[in-house]
Amino acid sequence: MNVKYDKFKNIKRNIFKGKNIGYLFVLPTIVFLLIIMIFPLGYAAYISFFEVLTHMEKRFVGFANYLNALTSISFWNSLYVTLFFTVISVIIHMIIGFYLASMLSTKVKGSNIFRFLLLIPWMVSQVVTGVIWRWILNAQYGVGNDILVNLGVIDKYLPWLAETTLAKISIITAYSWQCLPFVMIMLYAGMQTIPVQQYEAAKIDGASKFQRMIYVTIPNLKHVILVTSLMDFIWAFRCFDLPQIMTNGGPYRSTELLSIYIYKNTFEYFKFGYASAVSILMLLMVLTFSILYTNKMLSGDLNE
Amino acid sequence: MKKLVLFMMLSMLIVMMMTTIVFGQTTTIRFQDWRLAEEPAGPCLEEIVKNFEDEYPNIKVELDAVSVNDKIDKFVTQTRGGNPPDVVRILTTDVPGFVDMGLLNPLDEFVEANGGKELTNQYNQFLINAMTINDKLYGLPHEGDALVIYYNTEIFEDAGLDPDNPPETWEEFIDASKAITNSAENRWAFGMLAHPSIANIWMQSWYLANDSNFFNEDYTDTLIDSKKGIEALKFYTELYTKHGVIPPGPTDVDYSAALNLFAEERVAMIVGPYATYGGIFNANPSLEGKVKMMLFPGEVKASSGRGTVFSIPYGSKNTEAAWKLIQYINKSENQMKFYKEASMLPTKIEVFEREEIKNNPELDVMKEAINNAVSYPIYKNWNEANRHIVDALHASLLEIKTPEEASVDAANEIRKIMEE
Repeated sequence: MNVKYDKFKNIKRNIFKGKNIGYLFVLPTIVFLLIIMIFPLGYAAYISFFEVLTHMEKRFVGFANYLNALTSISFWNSLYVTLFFTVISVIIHMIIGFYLASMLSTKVKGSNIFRFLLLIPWMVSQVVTGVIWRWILNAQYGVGNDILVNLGVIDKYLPWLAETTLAKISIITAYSWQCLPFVMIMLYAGMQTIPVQQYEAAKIDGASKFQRMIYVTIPNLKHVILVTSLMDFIWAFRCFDLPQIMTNGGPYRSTELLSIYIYKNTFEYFKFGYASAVSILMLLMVLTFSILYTNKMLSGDLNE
Repeated sequence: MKKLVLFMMLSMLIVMMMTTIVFGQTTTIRFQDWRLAEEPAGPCLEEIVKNFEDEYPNIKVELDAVSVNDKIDKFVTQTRGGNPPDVVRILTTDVPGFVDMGLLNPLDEFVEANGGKELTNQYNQFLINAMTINDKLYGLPHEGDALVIYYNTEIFEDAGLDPDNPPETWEEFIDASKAITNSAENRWAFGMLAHPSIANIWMQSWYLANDSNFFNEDYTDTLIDSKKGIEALKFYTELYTKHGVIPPGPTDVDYSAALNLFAEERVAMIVGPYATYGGIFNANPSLEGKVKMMLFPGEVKASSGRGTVFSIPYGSKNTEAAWKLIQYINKSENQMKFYKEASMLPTKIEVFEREEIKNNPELDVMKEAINNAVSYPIYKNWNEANRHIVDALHASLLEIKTPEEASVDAANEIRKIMEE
């Protein structure tokens, strides 16, 4: 009895005084995460092996939903559209974000105001962004067409959201407008941590502006670029609200991202099991990419 | 003095206890309806519900004004999660899918207790038939009508057309459309709705007018790749691809965009139900007196019949109170109020036969359309099949496929769904 009591006291001491006390502090968060994240995820994985028949009934179908997805033309079309949207968006964000961050790093009058103005799109919800851009790009009344015609870029109004290629360009433009500030601010924050001495040394060695960017700025920003591009990739891959509002996946499914495909299968076709299977496939794709990308980017560090 | 205070305290205690008992008997029901979020239908419905609460003080109605875009997601999520509303408005096309998912309660028990056939015979039969699935009734129609074409008489006159004799055949329709269209001035004949969210049901009437449809009568096969079906898609899409009488970008034109085009007099004709009539004048009051309705031109005088119904979801714990609310909103005087204030046509035959509606000359064409209405598709996998019909339309409009190829491809996909 005494031995047991001592053991209990030891555990208690360990928890409240020892290094394990941290676990106690994070316990509420872990419980919270389990409830709001792990349970729905687990349930989605569970339901992906069933065909949901009616309100209460479901039938076990094994991997049939996964096989159906992998043999469906619509699924592959959505995957292609999603990858196209994601890769192009991330590239645009990184290039323009880097350029804007460099501009903001230059100490000029009023750069604080520009920083604030450039951040505004990030503060707007995707739904609002979708509605705004839907109107800007309207084939009949869109201010976008008006500006482009007056600038001489186009000679007549274009149906931006009504043709397959233009619709893809349009949703990428709108999404980039919204998400660029995040990339910009992350890179800008990273640039502030680069020691000035490195630039001075490079300058003394005769490095041009471009060379300083390649050999000083980018290597110093490696980890920031890794994290930012990874987050941007994940967000773009699961983007839903904006394209749903702007195009509803059309025309001719040219903007039907995987997220929209899942939504339609769930709430329009009521194929809950199939939609869950596609969601799990989507999760696995993002997870695999994240692991490979992080390993690849960090492997350089380990070799150094 | 002490006795008086004691007496008053006791009295207050008794009053409080009685109030608690009364409150304890109050049933609260949730009424989910996207029309509550619309003008002018919302305020009208709120008033009807308020009157209902006055008549039934023991029933309190919680209004759930869901947005039109979220109506299905919210209803399905709540009902599957075991927290359904007690009364819900549903589009007739959505009912079979919900029934298949077990999300709705049949209403037969209540109907039998309230007159059975005598009750259902009071309503437009095309809607009652559409709501009867496996011999069970799943919804009581509230408002419904048929699609017609609205046209601007002034634009017709400007183009040298007789507004009292609108086109009756497809050839006449094309000729009139060409006479109206002036692309340099951004004036077009017809505002086509081909947005993925709405394209299908707006297109169905052209199939019906060509003596065809999306499906056969018992929904065992699709007709879109039949000779008549292909002809309908060809005619419809060639208005854009060949004749150029439709404004650019129809695949992005939804209902509100089409209404705006008409209200701004950029297009001379649009398709719509009766609510469109009020919508046009709301958007541009100067069009009063310049807008008329016509039937769809074609071989057959037929168009799509649409409607919304009230249902009681599976899992509702207050079905009795829910039925009372449905019956109350559907009272003849309330359907008439809804017609007057919200421009929605009643589904009760008796209300439709009243002088105010019967003798309204503006409604002559609409009444004829309703008499010849064919219901929107009432098929449990309609939403999935519909995607392929929209694909066919988009592929033809964007000239990715010919109307023949697009129809055949879509029909093959729909048959696969039917086999499943």
